[in-house]
Amino acid sequence: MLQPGLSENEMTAVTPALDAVASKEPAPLRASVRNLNFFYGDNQALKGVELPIVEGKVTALIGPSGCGKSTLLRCFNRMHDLYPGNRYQGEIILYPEGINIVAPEVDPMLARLRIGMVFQKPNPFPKSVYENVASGLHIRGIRNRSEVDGRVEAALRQAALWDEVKDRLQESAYGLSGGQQQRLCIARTLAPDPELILLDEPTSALDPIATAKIEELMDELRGAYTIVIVTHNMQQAARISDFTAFMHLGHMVEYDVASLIFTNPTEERTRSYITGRFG
Amino acid sequence: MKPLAAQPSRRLSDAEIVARAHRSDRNFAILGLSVLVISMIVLLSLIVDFMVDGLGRIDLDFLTSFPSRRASEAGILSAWVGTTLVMLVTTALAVPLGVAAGLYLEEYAPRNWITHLIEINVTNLAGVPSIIYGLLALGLFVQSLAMGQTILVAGITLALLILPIIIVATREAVRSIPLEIREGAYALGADKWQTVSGYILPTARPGILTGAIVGMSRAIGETAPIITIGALTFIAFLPPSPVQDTFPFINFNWLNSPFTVMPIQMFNWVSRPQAAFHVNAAATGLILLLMTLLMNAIAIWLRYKIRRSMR
Ligand SMILES: Nc1ncnc2c1ncn2[C@@H]1O[C@H](COP(=O)(O)OP(=O)(O)O)[C@@H](O)[C@H]1O
Ligand SMILES: [Mg+2]
Repeated sequence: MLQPGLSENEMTAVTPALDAVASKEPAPLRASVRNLNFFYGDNQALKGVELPIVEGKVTALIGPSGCGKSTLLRCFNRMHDLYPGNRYQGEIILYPEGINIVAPEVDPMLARLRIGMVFQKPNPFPKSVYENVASGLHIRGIRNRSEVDGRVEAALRQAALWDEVKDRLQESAYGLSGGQQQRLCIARTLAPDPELILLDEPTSALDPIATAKIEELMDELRGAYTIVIVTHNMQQAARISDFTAFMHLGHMVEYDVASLIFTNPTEERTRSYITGRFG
Repeated sequence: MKPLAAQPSRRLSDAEIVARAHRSDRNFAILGLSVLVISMIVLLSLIVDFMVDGLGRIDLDFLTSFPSRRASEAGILSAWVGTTLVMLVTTALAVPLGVAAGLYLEEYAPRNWITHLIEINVTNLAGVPSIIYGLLALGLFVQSLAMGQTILVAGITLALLILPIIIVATREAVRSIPLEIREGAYALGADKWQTVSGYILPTARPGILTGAIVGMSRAIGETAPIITIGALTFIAFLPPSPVQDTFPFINFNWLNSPFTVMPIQMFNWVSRPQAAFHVNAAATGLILLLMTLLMNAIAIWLRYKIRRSMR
């Protein structure tokens, strides 16, 4: 169920959906999207989107192709700023400070330093496995050898890749399989310890076994990290997400606890979509 | 009146379609092979001709002697040293400047009409005849700035000549880098300079190297602009040595030395009536060819090493 105006108390915005999960305490938010419009030039791709992102949970964005899932995800780390003519209107509040990260006066780098992203197609850099994972640390000026070594190993372990690559850290990342490359990209995102992780259909280029590994990984990261994942695979959304948001034609149609979205959606459009009548 | 029903054209059978496809594949392959063979034969006969005429003339004396009035005593010491030093200056100037300009145009320049104008001009400059560069250098460096007919001026002139080639190659190389690499770096929080220097430039290195070597191969054989600035055709001394035995142990006086280069030495000998000098010219041509091949070989080896480290 979607509540257009969240409550006054920003830190503890409550919806019935959240109550259902955190039955006693109100769920703390990591971020919250408020009345967000986004324009590719004159083409409005997001229309008054509202979405709370609950701390330590997995939030899935679903919806038919072209409904604006990627567009919304890429607002969080200001990826759209890389291209001319794009415009945000509205707010994405990042807690606990409560800054609006899509405000024009906020530098896009500020958002990207705190929010990590994993892309649809694995995109390792043409460097060694080690260099790939260390990239985010080097960018932040962390060069102390033992610290970097430690964090690279920890990130690779978290991404369930350490055992497979520990003997080939200095080899090129391009030698890894597609699934391994995607887990490498996840490790690369984890290494600088982001406050929020965005994943845009991270398994759509992978085979079922590699997909299962990534889903397992999502499960292990739950709690330690706050995750927003775009998927066009509803089974996947049902398996791995705590909350699910359904988008259609740039609108946020419905947001709720995952189990409720998939068993008892409020909106007719959601029902049609999850029963496979369109999209 | 009969309805104008289109007469159905005879349908080819599947076997005929396959046969037609094979036929056109074969025709094109034959055409391509003939063109290749013809151009290889021309090139090879040129080299063989050089070899027949000049190979016997090449010995250590030829490489370590100055030019002389007597063809049998003449050598190309001043010419190959001159070519090497001029190429050193050209490379040191053109590669960093060209790469920086290409990166700027591709990554930093605002997309407006001024940038567009610059881009069009850079591309056009690559097609300007080299003698125009020679005239520019003669007017600007030699006469207005009174820099003399030196190695430095020749190096700058050739650098200007090949700058457009390197700029265009850099831009192509940068543009062909997958969007995902660029976005991946920015998504990690990298600023523009970190992205460009740490991720874009290293990924573009093989393409840039190719452009640099195309440019340098052109520069090493250029004669017109160097004659235009007034390089001497008869040089019986070497530039001052860049190393010395007193502090600071290196000097750059050689930059201001008069010089000659291989193509000019060759040109000089070819235009003499005596056949013995023509033999010298052929030998010089062979060595110039060898120097170009060596330069290319180094570049190919470097590119191979870079590519291997990237996959
Ligand atoms: N770079 C772009 N420029 C203009 N329109 C775009 C661009 N990228 C996406 N769009 C449009 O925005 C809408 C949402 O696209 P997208 O967010 O990629 O959808 P999804 O990820 O849900 O498939 C689509 O109608 C698409 O055509
Ligand atoms: Mg998408």
